[in-house]
Amino acid sequence: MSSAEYNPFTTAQQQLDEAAGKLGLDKGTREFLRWPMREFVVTLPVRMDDGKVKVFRGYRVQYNSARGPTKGGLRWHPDETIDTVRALAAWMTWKTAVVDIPLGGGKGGVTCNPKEMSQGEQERLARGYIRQVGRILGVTKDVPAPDVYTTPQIMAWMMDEFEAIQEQSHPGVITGKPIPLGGSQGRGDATARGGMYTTREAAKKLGIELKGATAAVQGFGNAGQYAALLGEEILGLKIIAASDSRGGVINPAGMDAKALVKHKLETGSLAGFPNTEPISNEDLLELDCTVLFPSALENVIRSNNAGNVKADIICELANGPTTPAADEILAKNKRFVIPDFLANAGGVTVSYFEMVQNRYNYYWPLELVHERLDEKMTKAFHDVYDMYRKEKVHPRLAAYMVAVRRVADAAKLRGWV
Amino acid sequence: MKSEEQRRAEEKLKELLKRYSGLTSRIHQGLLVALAMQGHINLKDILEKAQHAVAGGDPNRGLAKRWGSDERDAVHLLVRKYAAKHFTIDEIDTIVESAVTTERIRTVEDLSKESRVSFELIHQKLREHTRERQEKINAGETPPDEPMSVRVRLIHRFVSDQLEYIGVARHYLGISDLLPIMDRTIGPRNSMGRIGGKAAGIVLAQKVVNLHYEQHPPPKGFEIGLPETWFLRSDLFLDFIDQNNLTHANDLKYGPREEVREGYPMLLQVFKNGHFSTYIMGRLRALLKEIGKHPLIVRSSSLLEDNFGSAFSGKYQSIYVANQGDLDHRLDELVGAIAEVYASTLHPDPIQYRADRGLIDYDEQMGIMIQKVVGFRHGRYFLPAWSGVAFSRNEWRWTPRIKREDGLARIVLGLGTRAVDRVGHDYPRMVPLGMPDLRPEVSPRDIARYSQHFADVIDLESNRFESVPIHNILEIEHFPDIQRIVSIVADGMVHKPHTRIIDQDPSELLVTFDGLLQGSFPQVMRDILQALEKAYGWPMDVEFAFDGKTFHVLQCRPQGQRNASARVRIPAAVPETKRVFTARKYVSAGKIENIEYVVYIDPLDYEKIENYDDLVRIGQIVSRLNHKLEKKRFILIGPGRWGSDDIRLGVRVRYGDINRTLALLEMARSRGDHTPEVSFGTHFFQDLMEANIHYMPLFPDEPGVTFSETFFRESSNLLGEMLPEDARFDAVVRVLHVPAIADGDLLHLYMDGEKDRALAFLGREQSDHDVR
Repeated sequence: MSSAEYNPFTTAQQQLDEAAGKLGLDKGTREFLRWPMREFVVTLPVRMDDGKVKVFRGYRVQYNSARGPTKGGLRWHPDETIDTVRALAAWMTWKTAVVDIPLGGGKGGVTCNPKEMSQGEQERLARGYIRQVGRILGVTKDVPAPDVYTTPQIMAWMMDEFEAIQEQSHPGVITGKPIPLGGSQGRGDATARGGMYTTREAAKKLGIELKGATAAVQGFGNAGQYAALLGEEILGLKIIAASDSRGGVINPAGMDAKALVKHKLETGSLAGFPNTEPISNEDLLELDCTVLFPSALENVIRSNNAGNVKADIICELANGPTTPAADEILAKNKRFVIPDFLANAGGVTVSYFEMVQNRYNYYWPLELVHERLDEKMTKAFHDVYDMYRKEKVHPRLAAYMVAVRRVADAAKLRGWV
Repeated sequence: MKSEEQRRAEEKLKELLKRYSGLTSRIHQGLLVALAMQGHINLKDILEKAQHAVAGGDPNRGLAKRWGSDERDAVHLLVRKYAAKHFTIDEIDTIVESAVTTERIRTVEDLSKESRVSFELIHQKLREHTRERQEKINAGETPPDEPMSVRVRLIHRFVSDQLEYIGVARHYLGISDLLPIMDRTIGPRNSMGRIGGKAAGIVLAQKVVNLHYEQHPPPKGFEIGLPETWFLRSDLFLDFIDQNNLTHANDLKYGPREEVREGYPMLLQVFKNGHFSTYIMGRLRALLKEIGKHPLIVRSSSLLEDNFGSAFSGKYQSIYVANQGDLDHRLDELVGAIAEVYASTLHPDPIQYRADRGLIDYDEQMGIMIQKVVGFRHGRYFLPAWSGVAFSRNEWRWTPRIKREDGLARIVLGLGTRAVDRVGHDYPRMVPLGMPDLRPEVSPRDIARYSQHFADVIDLESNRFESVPIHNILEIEHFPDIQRIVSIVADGMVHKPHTRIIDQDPSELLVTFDGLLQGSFPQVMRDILQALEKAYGWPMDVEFAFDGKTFHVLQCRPQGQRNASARVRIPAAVPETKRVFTARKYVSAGKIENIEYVVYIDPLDYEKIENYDDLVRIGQIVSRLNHKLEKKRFILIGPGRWGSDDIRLGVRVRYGDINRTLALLEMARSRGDHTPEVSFGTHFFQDLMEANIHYMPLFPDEPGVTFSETFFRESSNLLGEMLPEDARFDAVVRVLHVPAIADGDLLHLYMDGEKDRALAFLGREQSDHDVR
């Protein structure tokens, strides 16, 4: 993997090819699914605070809309390229398909550095983006959401600009909005919560009792903190170890998740949590525990340490924590991986709920959001698990096969391929 | 025939000479100069006429070498005649008054020159002088200009002996400005000493800021003040040493370093048990009665402190005194704090610092400032709403959009100690004053992480200075100015309170100062810094605090060496063969000398690594080298973004893996027309800031930039020796021992922020550098 040659879109295409091969997809369909259906590139002039105009480049990729309006985040990043956006749009297509929500996949971005932009400049960029890209957005066309360096505030400006252009209320044009503007309850912990439901189902299938079983959380940002809290609350897990970028803490007797999160928020790190010993990130991955939640970085489980992973279930809350070579080793050792685009699909599922609530302009209580999320995630897990059992492939490939088949079916039914 | 007016003028003159009978010479001299200056007379003519008159027309009498009383009387007579002829009564009045006043000041000046003359006498003379000036002003007259030499003498005698300081202060500090300081000065009755560097800084800053705001009134609602301050002169320190027989202690500074270190705790105890004379104890007791039970800070203000080029920033102690309980207890606490500050002159760190700068023989004396702590009682705590430190030059710029000249502020809730000192893992709000709402964090999670979680306070119940979690403070209701201090974190957003904060869960509040930064504060701060920099002709920093009502400037000093961009100049005469690398972009000022080791990760070889595990391994090697070299002076140079989560962009390290390096240089090598972005603005960058680790990007492929491939790629590599198990990475990781490569030379990195130029060159060991 040379850093100069690495292209995320090439990787995405390879993953599709493998699933398509297993599914025996015809060549035409396969080729169709290898490429985005539509790409929109825009030039965005923004008046900066010093009076000068700066020109930004923006993108929106609608990868595949066979199953419904495309859905996916908007990234503001200085390294943004069309290839990154394409790859992420493809992954969104498989993610919405694997949880079986009636949406396609998309992604957008602006090459910019928000660290160098004032709030006013960010607002003008957000509105400028909608003035250009708004023509291909809409609740029946394409629905963006927050992603890297974009926040609910930016979503609010974008929705407002869209509504100003349309001269009518259109809350569903964008999700991840603040709650007072039509955001959904339950979005904050949706990713981790979805992961818990899939873990619960996996344990049932594997015949593992989770109540009182041990868990380790690698990465203690948003997803990791909720994994600890909800793992304890929903699954009855005992959190024995957790780590962040500065290292981790372990107590084999278990730690109080709420106190641990409080400690992290107050001190900025896990270190020094009472009654714990320090543990390195590497060692944490190899702990003898029932569930491991990789929740931060990509490629942490690799060919050189996969053989030492002892957790029965690995629930990938982070994107891409396991390398392809490691997948094979884990499968051989009977470690069950709930692959990232299934395990962390709770976020996009609640985004879908937000669209639904916006469309009929009636809002659900939190309990109903949780109930419906559980329903969707449980069904999605079983669909993937059935494929895994039937096809005897590792769970990630099974998930790809479920998703790609659903998209291919829709495209065929439409007569596209 | 004399005119009526001339006669009246003569009468007036006679009257004035009678009134000021002791100053007749001075008055005649003043009139003579005024007559000559206005062209009414020629000095030579007058002298000749006088001599002629004295000689009685006898040509053989000859010219006297020195005037006798006869000649002088003759000159005086002529002066009176001409003055009455050419000047109006009012003019005569003015000239005589001026001569008289100047004579008075000169007396003060003369007194101040004499070491045996007491402070009390000078104080009295200044009071007279000031009263007379005030009377004139009250009468609608313009008081005469004060002679510069008198100002200089007085400033030198009473405020500071540092020439750079005097050079600035003489333009701002009038003689009368010294009186309010003297009124609040405590010291032995019969000697004279100075108030020291820190006090000098605040006195001058006060004047400069006041003058600035006389011309540009501050924005509405922005009241600027200075904390109530009292001064203990440096001669009180000498008195204390004498009183307690501590003269021998001063010799400790010449002892071996270990002895200084080991002996210090004992010495501190001896100092703390010392005592002052009954007179001084009486003054301090009266002072405490006047102040009441308000917390105090006892600040060092030594003669060397806060001077240009050697800011003894934080080298001597400043001690908070809760000042609670009965008067005897409070007095005891105050005297203990003063003694401890006195003892800090012999603390091993400042002794080392002085030794490194050739100042060990300077007779360091300690003045002290006692300030009322700016703040209010909030529950059991005492603290200001917010405080911090601001620099007129911003050397921490994560984007070229931030201008160095706009300055930087570090703001915290509570006492400013957290902003002045760098506290690991807790963060003040960093504010580029020209673009105050820019911040290097974007996501709400990062904003939360890189914010302040603890506040420094004085706990009035335990009588101690403490750091407490922010939530402990915010859960007590009605914190002043809270609307401008906090943001609300909820629903994945961080936003300013839209309304007054009502029933807000303290755990949802984050210290961001977003409200404050959208108001006039950044502009006010910038104006103050620029006014000070203009006055001093030097980059400045100030400490400030806000007590919920008034904004206070607490301290002011020339920006320290690390930040003093103007001072680092790149030596011109470095031969080509000694140049190792240069930089021409994003250079912050600094000087790192005597670098013994360079850890160099070759960007081109790093890029060739195919295996992910090997990429991870490189980060681990760096971490181990950081540990192995922790006592050495070393720098790290490597590709792209250090600390990036994306391993393809740079070596994967965390702060703890690189925290012992002196500098971190990120290399961006061009590939075709693409040059990767470097670390500006990453969280990593902020961690570096807090650890005082210098950061600079290198663009070796750009035109006009030197980069010695031979030095980095062909010198012998110690990696295999230091980490034998990682020897196979020696093409990528090169550990260079500079003296072995460069014939005993060390590497020196000079960064001229002003010109955006840096040079690393080989040369002999430099003696003047910060010790690791």
